[in-house]
Amino acid sequence: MDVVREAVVTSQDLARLALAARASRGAEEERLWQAARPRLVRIALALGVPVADVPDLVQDALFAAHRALRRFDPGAGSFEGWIGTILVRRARNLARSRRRRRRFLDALRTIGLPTAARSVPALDRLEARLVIERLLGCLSVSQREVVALYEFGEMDAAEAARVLGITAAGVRSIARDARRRLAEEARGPAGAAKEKP
Amino acid sequence: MNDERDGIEMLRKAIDDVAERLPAPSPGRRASAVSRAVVAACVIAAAAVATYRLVPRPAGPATPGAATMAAAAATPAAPPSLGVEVKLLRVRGRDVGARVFVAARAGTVVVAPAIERKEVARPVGAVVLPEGGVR
Repeated sequence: MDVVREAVVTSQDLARLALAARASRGAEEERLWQAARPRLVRIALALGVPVADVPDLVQDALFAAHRALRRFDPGAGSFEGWIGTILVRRARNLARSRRRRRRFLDALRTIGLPTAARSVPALDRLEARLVIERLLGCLSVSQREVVALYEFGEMDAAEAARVLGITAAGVRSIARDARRRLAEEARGPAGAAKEKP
Repeated sequence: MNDERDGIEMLRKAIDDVAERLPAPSPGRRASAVSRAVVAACVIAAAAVATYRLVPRPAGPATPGAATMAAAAATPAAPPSLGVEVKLLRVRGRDVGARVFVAARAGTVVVAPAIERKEVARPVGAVVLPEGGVR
């Protein structure tokens, strides 16, 4: 199995690569997508996208970014914010289509047709995947989005706010609540009970 | 403050773990030669059918029971026989095969588009002509 190797890429590196790729569209663009991908994978996982769908979602977002790269304007915001917006919108669309698909599969099951769940066998029993599910399960959708962009996307509050269409203060407030809930969940039921008065 | 970050750090560790094990995206699959040939054949067939349908064709040779709209208007004497295919309808510049039926109203015949199954052919939305073929 191929493994995603993460290179340490700073925000400035990405911005520089994006400008070079926009101008030349050659090897620079390939390097840009390679550099952006690991961060997008982490954001997608933090958004609660099922592990089996993450590679496709990220690839889809990268393809959309490739088509729209000429429209990227560094004056309007960072490259991470721009591509993060694409990813978040696609993740929302995916969540909607999954709800519809689940209803359709339920209907198929009621008439007795067999349905197979999509999965990555090597990851199905991975403890880390279960930890992600448990921790993200205690967050609301907006908390997940803020955590994904603010904590894992390494965006500042203003950038995350621009992507999500809320205020920077809202991002900080939601992130604080999310961190508290995650900490309670991480300590387990005993810790959560101790937190409550 | 550190306690508050426990959950985030645990989540970060788990996400890093899963991200490192995720399979790399597979390169896009290229269509095989057979698929491309099938698609090309379908496109050519569709173009041929569209051309056949759009190009106006000359009217066929006159038969004893057949008449064109113009002929029917010019010579009102001989009404077409019931059930005989005639070419009276003109759709998008083409003569369309039609059949003659007895109309619900007495004294008229109905020319309806010919369809494959004669036994269920019905004069729906058809041209109504007085008996004898004259409008």
